Amino acid sequence: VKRLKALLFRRRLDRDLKEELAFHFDMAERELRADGISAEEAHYEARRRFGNGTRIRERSREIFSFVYLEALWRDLQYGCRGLRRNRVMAAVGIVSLAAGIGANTTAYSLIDSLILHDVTAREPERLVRFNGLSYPNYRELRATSVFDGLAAFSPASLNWRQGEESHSIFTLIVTANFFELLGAEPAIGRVFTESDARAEKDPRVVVLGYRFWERYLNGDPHAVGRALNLNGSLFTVVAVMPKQYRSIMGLGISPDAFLPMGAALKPRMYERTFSMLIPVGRLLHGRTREQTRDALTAALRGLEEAYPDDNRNLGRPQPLIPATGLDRAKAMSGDAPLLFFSGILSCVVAVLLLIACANVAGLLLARAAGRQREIAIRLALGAGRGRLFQQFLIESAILAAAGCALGIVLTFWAASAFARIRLPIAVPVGFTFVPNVRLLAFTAALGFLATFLCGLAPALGFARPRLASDLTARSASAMSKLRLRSFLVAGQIAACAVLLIAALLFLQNLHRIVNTDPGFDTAHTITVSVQPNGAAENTAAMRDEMRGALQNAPGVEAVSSLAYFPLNWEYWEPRVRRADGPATSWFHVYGQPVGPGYLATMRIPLIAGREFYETDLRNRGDNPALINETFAREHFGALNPVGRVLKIDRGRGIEGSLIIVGVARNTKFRSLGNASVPLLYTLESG
Amino acid sequence: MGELVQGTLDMLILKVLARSAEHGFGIARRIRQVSEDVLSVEEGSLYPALHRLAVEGLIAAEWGVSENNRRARFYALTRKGRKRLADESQRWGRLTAAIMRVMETS
Repeated sequence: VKRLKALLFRRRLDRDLKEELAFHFDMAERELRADGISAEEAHYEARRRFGNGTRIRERSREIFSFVYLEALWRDLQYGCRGLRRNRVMAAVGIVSLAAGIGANTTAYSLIDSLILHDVTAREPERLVRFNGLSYPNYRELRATSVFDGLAAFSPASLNWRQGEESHSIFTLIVTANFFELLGAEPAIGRVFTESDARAEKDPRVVVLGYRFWERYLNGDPHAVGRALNLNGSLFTVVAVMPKQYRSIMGLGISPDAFLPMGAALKPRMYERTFSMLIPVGRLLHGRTREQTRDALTAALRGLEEAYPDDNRNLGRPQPLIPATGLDRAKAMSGDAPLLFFSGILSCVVAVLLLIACANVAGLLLARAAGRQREIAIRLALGAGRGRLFQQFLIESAILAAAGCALGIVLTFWAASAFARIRLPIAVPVGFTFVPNVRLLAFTAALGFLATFLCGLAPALGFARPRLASDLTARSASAMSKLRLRSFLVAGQIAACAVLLIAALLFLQNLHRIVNTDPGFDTAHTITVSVQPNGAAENTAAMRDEMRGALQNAPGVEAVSSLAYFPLNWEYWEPRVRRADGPATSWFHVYGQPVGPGYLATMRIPLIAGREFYETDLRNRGDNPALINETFAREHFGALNPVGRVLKIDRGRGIEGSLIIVGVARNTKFRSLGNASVPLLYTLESG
Repeated sequence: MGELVQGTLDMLILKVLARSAEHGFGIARRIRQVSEDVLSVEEGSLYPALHRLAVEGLIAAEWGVSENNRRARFYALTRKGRKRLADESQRWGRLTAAIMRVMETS
């Protein structure tokens, strides 16, 4: 209460203190005079003994009131005033800090969204996935006690027909227990369960992804119960997943819909060799991945022994991949580029933050240099050094706080911009941005630390000033500050140079990639993607009809068809061998099923032989094939491959024959950066 | 001009005030005189100490008139202060006795 009163009646308290001390001083002087010392000398002696009166008053005030808080408040006000006076400097400092912090938090959020974040599931750390299984094998494996639960999914593109329009949507065909196993809850409706969507019932229900629901159904709150025409059948919407749902696919892949497995979607699901399911298992409590792996291998070996023809090599030991987080990314070799990219990105933004901090430090130093006289005067007037120190730190803190606040705003802005991006790839990838409190705290701490260090430099410089010289003019102490400044500037320039060079290298790479000749004509070729559903023979007929119609269209020089676009991460990797070689000399190649006239359409030069003709379609028995230069060189050497026969593994121990009719020039196939790979063109079957 | 043992200033102030209310200068003078100039209280410590004791409620401050008819702030011991003084002097007695014993025997 006394302190509160003191806070309210500060002025009176001040006056009282002053009067009390004046009285003391007076008495001391009087006493000295009584001892026979001259008036003037007594005055000085008393003065000398008395010491720093202001300091005594300040210390007493500290006792009486919340002087510390008061001083803080006044320093804050003073700091704000100072920064307002130096608007440009303050703005530059705040903006650079904000940019540094914003870039870091955004980059981290991005990486978090793509790699680090757990998929949405109960105890996701207990989930593992492994190599493909067929539905019958999956059923039998589920009956064993290897896992605490086993589900499976299979990515699939489906045609969604809406009125006269048709969209290709990315879906996961899942086993009926998928949601139960993962423990994921929908935002609206009720997900299907094992009992109501068993594959044997050929269920016709669908769970929608949030993005799809929002984008195509306009977030219809009554979506549950609506029917969607998917691949020609009607499916009833039963649920919509929440916005923050992160699918088991990871990498930010957000499927448009989830459908229970059934004959309508997977006509071949009962074939034991049709290993298109990716299993997800939940580890038994207390069981490690290694233990589970051994149990799984044993179980799969049992399946191989039971069905030796269909399940060849099924019992081969294979790694269990954690289903989620960084472990998963590390275990999936295909994710290596993504990890690399994340690492580079992290480094770049970290350097950016460093530059920002150096920038702010430079600004604060410059400002401090300009305030030398002010500081000297304040010291001469009896200001405590602690107070000055505090003043500097508070100014830094104001800058840091403003920078962090703006940085956070920037992060949110950038994140929402990222969330709106739709990558031009077949798989919908969404950045599910969750503001990460830990991260924001970390970056803010970094920003504060940096500014405090920046603020400290000038503060330390003034903790031992040469009063007289500083009062009168610039002093030699400025030299050390100059050195610090040039150090900062040098560091900044170095960091900027690193970033610039890195950026240039990336640009150069981009330029080189853009100018890479893929081996086929990209300038005059257009593609249309069609997803037919229906019987295979109808598809073939439709394709041939379309080809014929387009052939006669004005301006069209050549038309062909193909199953997978090159450079699109879609591969078919058949196993082949030379018919004249030993029966064990199998090797993997990349395969590309194409239609007649493909090489001519893509303007890929033919080196030897001929390419596919329309007539090949009618004489199917011949099974013609084309190979590329690398294939010819690696597997035929100096021999002329044209007219030779290849054996191709068609599964279940069935071998097919292919007659090589021509050799094509190499093209880029996997990616523009990859060297040529052995490539086999087969005639698209249907 | 002896240095005051840390923490003893409060006790000395309380002791001086136990006799009668006194202003700051009076307290300092009294300590100096009684200790025959061995102890001198610096103003820089005296006033903050006085104010702290006042805030703690061990002494009460009141404006009055000094011996030479000037307005001065007088400090007087409160009941709480009296109790504190008793505790402190007891503690001090034990402490000095212990120190004396150590100095004489070892």
